[in-house]
Amino acid sequence: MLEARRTRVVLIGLLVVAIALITIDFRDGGGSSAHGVGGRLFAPVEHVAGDVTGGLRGAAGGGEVASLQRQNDQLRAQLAQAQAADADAAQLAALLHLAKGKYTVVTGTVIAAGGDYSDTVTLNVGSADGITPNETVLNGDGLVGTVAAVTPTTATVQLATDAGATVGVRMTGSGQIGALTGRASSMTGSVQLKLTMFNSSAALQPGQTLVTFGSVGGRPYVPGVPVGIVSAVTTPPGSLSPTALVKPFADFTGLGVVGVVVSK
Amino acid sequence: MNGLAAKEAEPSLARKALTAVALAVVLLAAVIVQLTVVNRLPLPGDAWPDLVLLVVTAIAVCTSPLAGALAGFAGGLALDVAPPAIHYAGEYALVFCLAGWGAARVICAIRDARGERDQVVAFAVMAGAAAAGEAGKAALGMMLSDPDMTGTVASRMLPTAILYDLLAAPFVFWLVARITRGADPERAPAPEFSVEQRLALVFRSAAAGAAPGLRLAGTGENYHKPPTAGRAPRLRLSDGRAGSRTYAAAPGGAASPLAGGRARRLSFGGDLPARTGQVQTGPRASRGPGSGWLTTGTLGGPPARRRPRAPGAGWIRAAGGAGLAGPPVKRGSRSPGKGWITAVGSALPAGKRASRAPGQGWITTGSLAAPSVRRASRGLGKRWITAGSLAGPPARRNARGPGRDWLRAARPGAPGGLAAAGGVGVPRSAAEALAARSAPSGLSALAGRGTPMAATSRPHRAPRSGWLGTARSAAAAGTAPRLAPRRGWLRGASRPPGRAYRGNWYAAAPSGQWLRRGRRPWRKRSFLPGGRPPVPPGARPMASPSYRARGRQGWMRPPGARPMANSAVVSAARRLGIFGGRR
Repeated sequence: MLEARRTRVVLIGLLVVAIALITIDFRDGGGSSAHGVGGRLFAPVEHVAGDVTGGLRGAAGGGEVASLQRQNDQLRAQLAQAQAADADAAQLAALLHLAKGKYTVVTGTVIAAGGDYSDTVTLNVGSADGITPNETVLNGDGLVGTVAAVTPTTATVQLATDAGATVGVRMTGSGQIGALTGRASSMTGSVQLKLTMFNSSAALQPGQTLVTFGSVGGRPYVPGVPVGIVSAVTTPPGSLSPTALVKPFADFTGLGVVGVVVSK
Repeated sequence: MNGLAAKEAEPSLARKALTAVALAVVLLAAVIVQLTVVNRLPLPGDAWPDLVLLVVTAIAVCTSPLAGALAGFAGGLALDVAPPAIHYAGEYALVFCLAGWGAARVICAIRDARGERDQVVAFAVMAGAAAAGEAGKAALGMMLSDPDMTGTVASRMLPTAILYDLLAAPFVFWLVARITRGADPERAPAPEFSVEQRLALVFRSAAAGAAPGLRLAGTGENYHKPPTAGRAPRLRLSDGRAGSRTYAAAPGGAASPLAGGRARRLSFGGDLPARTGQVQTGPRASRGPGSGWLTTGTLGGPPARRRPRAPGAGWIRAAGGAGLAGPPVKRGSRSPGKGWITAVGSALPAGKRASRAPGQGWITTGSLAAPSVRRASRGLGKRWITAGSLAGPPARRNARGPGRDWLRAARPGAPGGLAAAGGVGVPRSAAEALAARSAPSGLSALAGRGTPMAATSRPHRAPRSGWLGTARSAAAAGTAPRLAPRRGWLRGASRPPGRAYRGNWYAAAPSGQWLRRGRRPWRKRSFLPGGRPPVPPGARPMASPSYRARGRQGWMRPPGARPMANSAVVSAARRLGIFGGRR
């Protein structure tokens, strides 16, 4: 009986604390210091665990060094492609007064991933490596996401597939622009992004390639990063602009080494 | 004795601490593994099992509500603030805390109702709590308008996530159950009795005069704990019910006039599902007889209706059949429910009625109907008080109140006592033996194949329970001394205490040792194991002769209140042959 009362008191206390945390975090828009404290607490442990699991994955995949080498090649190729696209986007940049800068890529490894309902991963690089929030994350295949939060040793990446992520994209052929949002809730199981064109008369065809449109100052997205390919075009009734499902280039379920575009 | 058993069974502090540390490590490991391994597995369906939620619910069902809530909060908060999380801090802490606490509460309720710990049930509760936790995560995310959490996402991922949880649950449950096994109260009867032990302390001091206004028998606000099943005697009177196990299995009992004449009135709670089902319905079963009795219509309802439910009813009706029972009011006043309540609940001068309380007398009557009246009178009042001096099972039982026991006993197949009987096998203490024997299986074991537990526990037991427990005592019970004391008792309130009990009716009780001492039982009780209760400073000494006198005349029964109706009822019942065995 006494124990039950004590339990009740403790339970109520815990619930009040939890609700207070939610309230504070809600007010701060998800950026309360609780996350920072938690990040500092758990970052070292996740580092260790990430190293262990990374080692295991590397061993399973034929060695981490080889994997890294492959990733490096891909990244280099991708960077070249990005620079090529950069040239391609020069006109656009000039037109939109985009701030052009020099970009360097900091590579990191995914050491942890979010749960069911949030498409986030944690990298083993953080603000100590020069990473700041709202920077583009990509890998050899294409766009991965943006940095959502950093701790000294870790960075949390919001993947492009997250429902809260929106990417401005441009069709490689037509140059039409649109917005790409995550989680198109395809029942097929494969990750699909939803593309909404800004121009209602834009022609959409399966097979078209999308690159990032770029943001002001390269944050959160640098221009020219390949994103995906249009897989299906849908015209929802009552909708003014055409929409399409886009299959991303990057394999979000098997992310390993990724690069963070750090502006200098 | 309970205390002794508790000490034996209670896991050591070091063991508890070790278990707690191990559980904390498991929880932390679950968080890390969840984030770094599980969430990165390319599982179909785009969902993953939530190891943390599983560990939390497993801890909850294996330990206590407090531990469940704490583990849930800690695990959820860790998931909230560990780096990959971008949802609002506190969401999972809230949900997991509730899930852990709820799972543990459900387990506690089930254990209290069934009296045993079942791993399958625990696992089922854990799985249910995990599913509820998943749903709670989704619901809270939606309420906070998390962009990741929309209706479509939830409808798509929730079933998959729950499925994965169920798949992973057995392993987590096995792990946590293995860790908590040592510190698990499953093997230790002590936690189960702990509340009763505390209550027994309270009642002891109350009996010693520390708190005369204390309400007993589940009517007080302090008495919230649902009854732990199976420790009460399951015997009860009900006319025309044959096939009682005790009767059937009583060695030689059928031949004895006692058993033969009375056995048809014996029935076990577990034997009669239809009837006991009635009792079990509604919250009344857990509420204790006091209220149940009252609402049942002790005063209003017809006796027939009351009867299957209230033990007193049968008794009353028997009296009424003799034409001696007065108007309903009178009957009601005599009914066990009321008398019982007033006597027990408020220790008021309702003693006269209480002295007749059929609830207990009824229960204790077991195979002996005749002494029941007397015993009832003594059972509640006196035994109650004297229970304070008994550390043994009577104290425990009394502390729980006869009414509840009775109700509980009437539950169908309540496996309550099985925890002790089945789980432990050989009883370690008299309390266990008592619990075991009051359970159906324990009873059949007792009656059927002899009773190791009865052998061990009888010396410590009050005669009442001895009566109950062993149907084989029926033959012995039929011996001569039974009648004399009863009569003496009826008459004897005005007599000097010693005289009234000269012809000790307890001679009919099977508990031999107690009996042998019990030429003057009330005095001898203080010699029983457990000794005399601590008398609070300033309290009236409990075992003093004056107390004894008060116990018989003052406490239970207001001075001057003579059991006239009692004798009338008894004689009526005697005429009916209810109490057979008169010589």
